[in-house]
Amino acid sequence: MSEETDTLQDLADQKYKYGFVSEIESDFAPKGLNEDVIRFISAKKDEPDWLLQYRLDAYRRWLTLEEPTWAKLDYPKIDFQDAYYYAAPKSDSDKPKSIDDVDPELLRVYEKLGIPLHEQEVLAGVEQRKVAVDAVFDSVSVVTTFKEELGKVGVIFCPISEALKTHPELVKQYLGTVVPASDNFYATLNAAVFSEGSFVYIPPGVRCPMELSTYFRINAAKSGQFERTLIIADKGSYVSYLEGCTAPQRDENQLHAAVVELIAMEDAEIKYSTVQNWYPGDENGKGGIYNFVTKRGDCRGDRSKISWTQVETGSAITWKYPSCVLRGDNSVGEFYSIAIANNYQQADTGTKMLHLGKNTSSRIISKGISAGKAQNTYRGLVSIHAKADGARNFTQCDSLLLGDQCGAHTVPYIQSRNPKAILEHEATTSKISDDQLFYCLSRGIPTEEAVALIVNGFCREVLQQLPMEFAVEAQKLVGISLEGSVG
Amino acid sequence: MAKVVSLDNLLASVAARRSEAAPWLGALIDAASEKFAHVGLPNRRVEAWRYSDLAKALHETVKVEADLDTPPVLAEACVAAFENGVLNDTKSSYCAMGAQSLRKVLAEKDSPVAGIIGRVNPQADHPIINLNTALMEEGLVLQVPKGVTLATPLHLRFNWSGVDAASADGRHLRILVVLEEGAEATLFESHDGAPSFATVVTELSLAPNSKLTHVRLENFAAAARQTAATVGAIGEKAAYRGFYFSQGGHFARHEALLKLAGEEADARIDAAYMVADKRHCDNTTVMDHAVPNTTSTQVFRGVLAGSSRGVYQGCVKVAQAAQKTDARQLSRAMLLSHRAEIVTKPELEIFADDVKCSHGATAGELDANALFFLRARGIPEAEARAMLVEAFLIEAMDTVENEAMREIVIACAHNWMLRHAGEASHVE
Amino acid sequence: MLEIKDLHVNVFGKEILKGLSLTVPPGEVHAIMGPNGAGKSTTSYTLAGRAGYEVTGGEIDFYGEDVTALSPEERAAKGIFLAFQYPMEIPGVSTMNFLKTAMNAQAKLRNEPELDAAQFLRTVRAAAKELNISEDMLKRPLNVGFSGGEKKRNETLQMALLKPKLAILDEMDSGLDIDALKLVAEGVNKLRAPDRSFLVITHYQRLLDYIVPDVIHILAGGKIVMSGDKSLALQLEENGYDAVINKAA
Repeated sequence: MSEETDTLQDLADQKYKYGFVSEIESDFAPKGLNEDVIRFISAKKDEPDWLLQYRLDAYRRWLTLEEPTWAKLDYPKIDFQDAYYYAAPKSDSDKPKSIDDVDPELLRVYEKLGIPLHEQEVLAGVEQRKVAVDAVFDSVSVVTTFKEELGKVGVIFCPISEALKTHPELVKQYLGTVVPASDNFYATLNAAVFSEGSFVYIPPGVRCPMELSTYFRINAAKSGQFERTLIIADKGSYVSYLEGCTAPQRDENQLHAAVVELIAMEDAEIKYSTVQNWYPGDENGKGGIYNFVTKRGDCRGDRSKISWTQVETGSAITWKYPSCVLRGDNSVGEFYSIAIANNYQQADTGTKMLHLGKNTSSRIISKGISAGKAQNTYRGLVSIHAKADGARNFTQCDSLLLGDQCGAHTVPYIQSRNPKAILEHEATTSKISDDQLFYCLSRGIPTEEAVALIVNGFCREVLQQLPMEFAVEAQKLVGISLEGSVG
Repeated sequence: MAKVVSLDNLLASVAARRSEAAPWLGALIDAASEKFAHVGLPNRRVEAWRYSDLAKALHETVKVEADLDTPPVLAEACVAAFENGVLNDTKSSYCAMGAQSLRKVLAEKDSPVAGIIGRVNPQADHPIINLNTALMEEGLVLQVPKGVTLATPLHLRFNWSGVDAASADGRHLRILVVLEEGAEATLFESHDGAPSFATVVTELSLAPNSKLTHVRLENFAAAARQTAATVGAIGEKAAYRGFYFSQGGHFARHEALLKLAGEEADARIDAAYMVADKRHCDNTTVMDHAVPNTTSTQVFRGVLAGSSRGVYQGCVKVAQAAQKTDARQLSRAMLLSHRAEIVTKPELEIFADDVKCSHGATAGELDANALFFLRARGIPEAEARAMLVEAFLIEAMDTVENEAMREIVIACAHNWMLRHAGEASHVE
Repeated sequence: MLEIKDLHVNVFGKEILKGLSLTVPPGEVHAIMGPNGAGKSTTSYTLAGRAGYEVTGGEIDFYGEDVTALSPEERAAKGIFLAFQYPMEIPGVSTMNFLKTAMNAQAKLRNEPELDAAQFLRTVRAAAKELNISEDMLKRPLNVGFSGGEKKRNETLQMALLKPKLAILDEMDSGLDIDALKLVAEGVNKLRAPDRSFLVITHYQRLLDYIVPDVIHILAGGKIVMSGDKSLALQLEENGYDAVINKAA
C-alpha cells in the first residue's frame, strides 16, 4: 500500500475525534427557560442576591429582544424552550477538594481529550512548560490546576462561581462592564443563565508565570453551554490565555452562547487564543453546535494591549466577533483569525476595533477558508472617533475557496471621523492554484496533504500568533477540518 | 413651502397615475408600487440605507441658496434639457440623434420599449427604483441601432433652478439607453441646482460588442436632495466606462447597479467626490458578475471637508457560474476636518472559486513624504497640501477621455478647491 | 557659507548625530562618506528641515543665520537644496506644474518677481535639453514611472532651475548605472559656481570620480572623525571603513 493511502486513512479516522459521548450521571435544571430556572441556577451556585437580580433583569430584557438576522447565516429558528440550561455531573454535588477527589470517569474524559489535569503532566510533546487548566464540563468546573503555584505570585485563576465566593468585590466591580447585560440578544441570554467559566486576575506588575487555559466540554444531550469568562490584567501585567472547546457528535443542534470580557489596565497585555473545535455536524449538515459568542476586550489603560487569536474549525454555525475597545491612549488591539468552514458549516466571524484614544493602533489579519457547501463570511468594523488623533489600522482579509459549491464573503465596515488617522484595508479572494498543487504532487506529496500544506501556508501569519504548545495542534486541525474537501 | 414628501401622498399619486396608464405600463406600475408600498421610503434600519437615511433627510428643512451655479455647456453635443424635472424641447436638440421624450413613449398604447424599460437589470426589491417606476413621467429614450457609433455625445442636462411648487411627490425621471449590437455612444449627465426631491433612474442596455462612455457630474447646491441609480446590463464583449464626479448635497446618492451579463463584458468606474460643509454624498455600487470571464474595476477617491459625510458602499457579487471573474475595487478617502466623516463598506460576495477579487480601502492624511518633498523645494506647507489634495483627485479625472468633458470636470474640482482652499491647506 | 557646529540630532528619541561639526565655504565641493548607520541620511534630512529630526544641541549657520528653527520651505528659499536619494513619485502633479509652483513660491518668499509663462517655459526647456529630459517627461506626473536615471536627472533639473547656494546630494549614485551616473554628474558639474557649494553624501568612492570634491569628511558614530583631500577616498576604497576609522581613533 502506498503512503498516500495511509495518510488519507489517517485523516479519515481523525475526522472528529472528540465526538464520543461519556456516560456521566448528571443533574439537570428543568427543561426550558423561565425565572424559576434562573433561580434554580443561581441557587445551585449559591450566589449572592445582587447576581440573581442581575440575571433576572437580563432575562426580562431578553424576553423583549429579537434574534439578530443580519449575519449571512441560514438555520431554522431556535426553540429556546427545548433545551437544558444547566447540567452538572452528579459527582460534583460534593465539590471535590483536589484532583484526587474528582470522579475518575470525568478524569478519563479529559484524558481521552488529551488535556492534562494532573499538575505534573504537560501537554504531549512539549517539555518543561507548565500550563494551568480549568476544565469546564457542561455547566460546572471539574478542576483547576496549578492554583497554588499561581497564588504565590498573586494570580487568581479559578471558576467564576468560586471567584464569586472568594473575591466577590472583584467580580462585582468588573462583571458586565465590557459586555453589558443589554449588549445583544445572546449576551443578554448569557447574562441570565451563565453557569460557568473562568475568572482571571493578574495583579499589578505581574507577568503570569504560565499559560492559563480553559477546556470547555459540552457532554449532556439537549443542553446548552453558557460560559462566562472574565480576565482582568492590572497595571503593567501580562497574561496569555487559551481556550479549547469540544463536544460529542449528536444529531441535534446544541446551543453555545458564551460571553468573554477582558480588561487591560495601563501597560497591561492580554493575549487570548481560542481553538474552537465544537462538533461541526456531519457531512450532510446534520447536528453540530450553534456557536453564538460575544467576546470583547477593553484596553482601559494607556499603552495597554489586547490580542485575539482564533482558530475556528468547529460548530455548525459560528457567530462571533472578538473586539477591542481602544480607550487608553497608545493602546493596541489585534485580531488574528483562521476560520474554516467545510461541508454545511456556516461561519460569520470577524472583529470590531473601536479607536477612542489617541495614537491607538489595531491590526486585523483574517484568513477564511471555505470548502464543501460551506459559507464563510468575514464581517468587521473599524471605527475611528474624532478624538483618536494618530490612530492607525491595518486590515488584511484573505479568502480561499476550495471547490465551486461554497461561498466566501467579506463585509467590512470602515468609518473614520479623524483626519489624522490612517486606515488601510485589503482583501483578496482566490483558490489554491493548480500550479502550486501540481508542484507539490510532482514532489510526491499526496493531494490531501498538499492542500493542508498550502492552506497552512495561507494561514501562517495567524498560526504564528498561537502559543507554541497549540500551534502544532492547530496546524493538524486545519488539515483534518478540510478532510474530503478536495476530490 | 413645499409639502413634505410622505408615503401616503406618494401612494395616492401612484393610484392616480395607474388609472390613466396603458395596460403595459399599468402592469409595470402595479408590480413596482406593491413592493414600494411594502417597504416605503428607505431609512437607516434598511441595511443598504444604513448610512444614508432618505426618509429622515426628506423631513428636514432646507434653504435654497439665492445664486445657483449655471449648468455646464458641452460644445458639440445633442442636449436633452430638463428644467426642474421637465424636458424643455426648445432648449433641447436630442431629436437630432433619434432620441424620444419618455412622456410620449409612456402615452403609447403599445410601445416597442415596453419589454425593455424596467427589465434591463431588474431590481425588484429596490425601494427607490420601484418608486421611480411607479411615478416616472419625464425622461428620455435613446436607441442606437446595430453597428452605429454616435459621433456626438448626448448631454442630459438636469437643472433645478428653484423650488418646484407642483412637486409635493418629488420628480421621478427615467432615462433608457439601448445600444444594439456593436453600437457606441457617449452619455454626459450633469446635475445642477437644488431639487427638493428627485429620483433619477438611468437604464442602460448594452448589447454584445457595444460600448458606452458615461460621464456623470453632480454639481448640486447645498439644498439638493436626489437619489439616483444607473442600472445596467452589459452583454458579451460589451464595455461600460463610467466616470462620476459629485459634490454631494443635502442628500445626494448615486448607485451604479451593473450586471456583467455576457462573457468578456467589462465595466470600469472611476470616481471623484469632493464634499464640504454639511453635505452628504453617497456612492453605492453593485457589480453583479453573472457569467464566466467578466471583469470589473472601480476606483473611488474622495475628499471630505467641514462637517460633511461621505459614504462608499461597493459590493462585488460573483455567481457560482461566474468562473474566471476578475473584479477589483479601491476606495481612497481623505479627511480634511475633525468634523467630517467617511464610511466605507467594500463588500465581496463570492460563490465561484476560480476568481480574482480584491478590494482595498484607505482613509487618512496626505503622504508625509510627498509633503516634505514639496516643502523642500520651497513650496509653503498650505500650498503644498492643497496641491496634493487636488493631485489626488486629478488622477481620477485624467481617466475621462473626451477632452471637453475632462476640462469641465477638472474645472469643477478646481472651483471646489478655490472655495475650500483654506480647508484643504490645513487640517482643523 | 555653511557652518555646522556641534550638532546633536535625535530621530524617534534616539540620538543619531552626536556633535557633528563641518564648514563648507562658498564655491567648494565637500563630500561626506561613511559606513551604513553613520548618520549620513540624518545629516541631509536635518539640513533640509524634515519633521521628526529633532535638533537637541548645536546649530546650523547658513550665511550667518541659524536655520535650525526654519521650515523646509523657508530653508529652500534661503538656497538650501536637497537632492533626494529616493525622489518622491507624486501622481496627479505634472512635472511642469510642480517646477512652476516651486520656482514661483521661492521667488515669492524672496520677494522677487515671479516668472511669466513664456519666460518660465523658455527657461525650463533650455535646462531640460541640457539634461536630455524630453518634453514628454515634463508633462508626465512627477517622477511617476520614471527610471532611476530619469528621477536623478529630474532632481538635477530642479537644482539647475532653483539655483541654490548649497546643494546637498544624498546618495546621488544609488540606483544608477554608469552611463546614467555620468550624465547626472556632468549636469552637476556644470552647476559648479563660485557662489554655490555642494555637500555630496555617499557611501561609495565611485561617485567622487565624477564629482571631484575639494574636501572629504568621514562620518562615523554621528560625528566627523576625519577630514582630508580626495586621496582619503582612495584609502577607504583600498582598506575599508573599519581600518581607516580605527586608525583615526
